[in-house]
Amino acid sequence: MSDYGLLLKNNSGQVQIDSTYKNFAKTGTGSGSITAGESNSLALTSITDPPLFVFKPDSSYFSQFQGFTKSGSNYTHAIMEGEYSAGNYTLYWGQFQGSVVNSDPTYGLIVYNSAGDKVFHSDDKYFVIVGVYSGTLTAPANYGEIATKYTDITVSDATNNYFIQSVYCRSIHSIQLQPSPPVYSVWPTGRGLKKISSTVVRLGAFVVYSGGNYGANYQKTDGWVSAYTLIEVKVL
Amino acid sequence: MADYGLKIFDSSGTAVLDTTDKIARLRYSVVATAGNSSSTVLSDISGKTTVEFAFGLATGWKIPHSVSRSGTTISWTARTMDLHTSCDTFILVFLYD
Repeated sequence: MSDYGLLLKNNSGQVQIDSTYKNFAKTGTGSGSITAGESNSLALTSITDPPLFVFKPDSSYFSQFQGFTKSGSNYTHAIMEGEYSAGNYTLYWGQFQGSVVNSDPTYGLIVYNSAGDKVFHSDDKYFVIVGVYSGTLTAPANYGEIATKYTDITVSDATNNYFIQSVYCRSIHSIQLQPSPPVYSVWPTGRGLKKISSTVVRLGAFVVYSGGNYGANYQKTDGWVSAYTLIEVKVL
Repeated sequence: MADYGLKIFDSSGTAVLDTTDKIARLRYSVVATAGNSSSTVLSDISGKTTVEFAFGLATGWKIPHSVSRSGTTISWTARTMDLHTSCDTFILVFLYD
């Protein structure tokens, strides 16, 4: 127990604010158009620290967050993978960072740690965890299994809340397009999120796009981690 | 209105903190460099609930690290696959108990 500062708990006894650890604060929200493939770029509020990125799953198509791109020393865009069969859809997103965002208010509450750093600021909008869902979803062994690899997860609010899936997954599967001469195509596959109902999201394998010819037996699943963590967050 | 706890409003009157909220506190973060696996011991998380996750800091046929917790040890493991290489990865550990 610290002998200075503030320790604040919620009505379940869980610590909301202490005088040691920083909370994550919102630095931006927005929306962007997503289509099939892995080149969907969403413009963020440019910052030098790595951001935390969350999004609302679409109700028709799977999406997976791939990573960030930088311009100089700033993180500027989030790259999303969209489902191969997708038409255009709009994805809503939010970003957070681990430092106090706003300048000092003229009223409200600021909490400092022992080093004098701000760890809480009442003008910031914080990363509220609504639920954490963990489990396993193994990689599809082949193209035919892609549509069967999913799990439906009951959440608090799939319409208004945002989600983080960890960790990024990639597998690649070959299929034969024509028998003679034999022609094959590979199908890079991700593990994404889709909204099923107001309280259910689907975490599942989905084809991202169709690739080149790597022969008949090209099945790669070592970019896939079966264990998943799905975090549901409220973005104010 | 609750008769305990703290509810904080911003200047627009929006509640930014309510008595039922679980706002995660960042316990640990590191940028794991591409290709390097490692771990750290966070002795103070013993008996506490955390959530760990990992984001790639690069795109285009890159694979971020995986991350896991065992006891008070947080481990991150670089991954690769055919045609894909490991990338720098943002590892985050939040306390939310």
